[in-house]
Amino acid sequence: MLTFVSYTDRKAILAYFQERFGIPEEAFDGFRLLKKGRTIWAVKDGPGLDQLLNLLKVEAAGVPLIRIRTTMQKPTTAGLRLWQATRNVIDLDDEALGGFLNRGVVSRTFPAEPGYVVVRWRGEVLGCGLYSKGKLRSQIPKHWWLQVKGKIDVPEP
Amino acid sequence: MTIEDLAQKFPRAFERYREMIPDFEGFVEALRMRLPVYIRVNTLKIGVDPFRSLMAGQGYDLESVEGVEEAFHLDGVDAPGSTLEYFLGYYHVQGLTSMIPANILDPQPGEVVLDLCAAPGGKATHLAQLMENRGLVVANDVTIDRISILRSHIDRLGTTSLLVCRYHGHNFPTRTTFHRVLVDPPCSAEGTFRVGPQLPLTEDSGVIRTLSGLQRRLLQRALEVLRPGGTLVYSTCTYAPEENEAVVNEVVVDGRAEVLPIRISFPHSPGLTSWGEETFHPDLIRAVRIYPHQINSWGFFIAHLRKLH
Repeated sequence: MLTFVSYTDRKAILAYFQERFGIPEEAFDGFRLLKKGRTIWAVKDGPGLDQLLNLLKVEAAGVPLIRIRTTMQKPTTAGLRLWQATRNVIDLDDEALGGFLNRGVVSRTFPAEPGYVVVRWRGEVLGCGLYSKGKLRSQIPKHWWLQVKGKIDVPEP
Repeated sequence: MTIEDLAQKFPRAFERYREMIPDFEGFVEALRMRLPVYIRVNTLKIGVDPFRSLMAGQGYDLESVEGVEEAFHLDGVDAPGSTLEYFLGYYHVQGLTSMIPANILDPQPGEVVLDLCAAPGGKATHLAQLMENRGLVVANDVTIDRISILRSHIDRLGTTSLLVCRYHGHNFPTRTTFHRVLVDPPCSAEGTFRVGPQLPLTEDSGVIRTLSGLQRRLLQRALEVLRPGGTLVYSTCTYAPEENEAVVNEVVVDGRAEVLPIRISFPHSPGLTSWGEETFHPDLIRAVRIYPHQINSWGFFIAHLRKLH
């Protein structure tokens, strides 16, 4: 069952986005955060939201924002596409785009701290990546990724 | 059964509509043609004009659709769900006629809207898009596999104003009410038929009876959760009057709802006021029937209703 996260938990989650990705807390104004299992969801606030969540058994609300793991938090591709990050962002060139989308990994040194990163191409967020020791690995959900894997021609610059 | 066998047999599957469908031969001919690909721009992510420029810049062959600003005919792409632009959430692949019900429902920002049979989510995400992600859309469906597809579309398109529920539609809780409701129930899907891979479900008359019973229960429950004066769109992708006019007729005749006029810019046919020995309320003429020789897409039936009390 989905429940609203506490004020303290919301502060902690937003602090993570601020520290790791430079997304200011205010960027989440107008969104409510909910929890179900290990997933935190971000849903647009609107009249009637509290009532609907009280009266209906809601399976999912808005988009998943973050998954809580035992030792760390894993941001989602859906969430990272919605808020503009300014820190730990890796911009791929056209050559690296092919490797990232078709093979799921790019071996190269990027100016980012180890850990989860936002992966962009031509200013557009592709999704979440995990960067460590000169390797960038795609964290984009498999069912999205498999749709395009091997089918995307690297566009002309 | 091979495609050739089906091609031989399929006109018989629609033979009972010979008098009902205008230019029946043209209709049968249209069923032999390849279905064109239509896409809906995700205006939550990109404007229509920038999208057109972006796609043209990538070499795609796009054609606008008069009357549906967010719709484009995409030519020459075999797998429109496997492009980078689809992956990035710029567009959704959707039949042109499937985009009409949400536009007719015309949801407004700030409202609370229910899509009772929402998966796989084309119409539910369209509703949220038309509301500019302001307000709430409850997308309900009971099949877990289809719900997971719906959720994947929500994430890709960034529709943050959607709530997903998993009730049997005809048992959807009546504890809450909605400004508008879309009912696009399971149907025999004759309208999605182009030669192959199988004949329409209506080859079996028992299927129509079963579906028609379910559709009645879904429409009744939809009216129960609709606020008085609220509006509802009932749509199917089938031609069978038993699943269309006959279902809607029941709630109009007993005074629970009135049929509203529909304005669409495509060629179409009016709803039926009789079928065989059955007579329907005269206002059913305000419903619309869309055939593939009128619009080169899926066949559709759409009725726009207002709850009276």
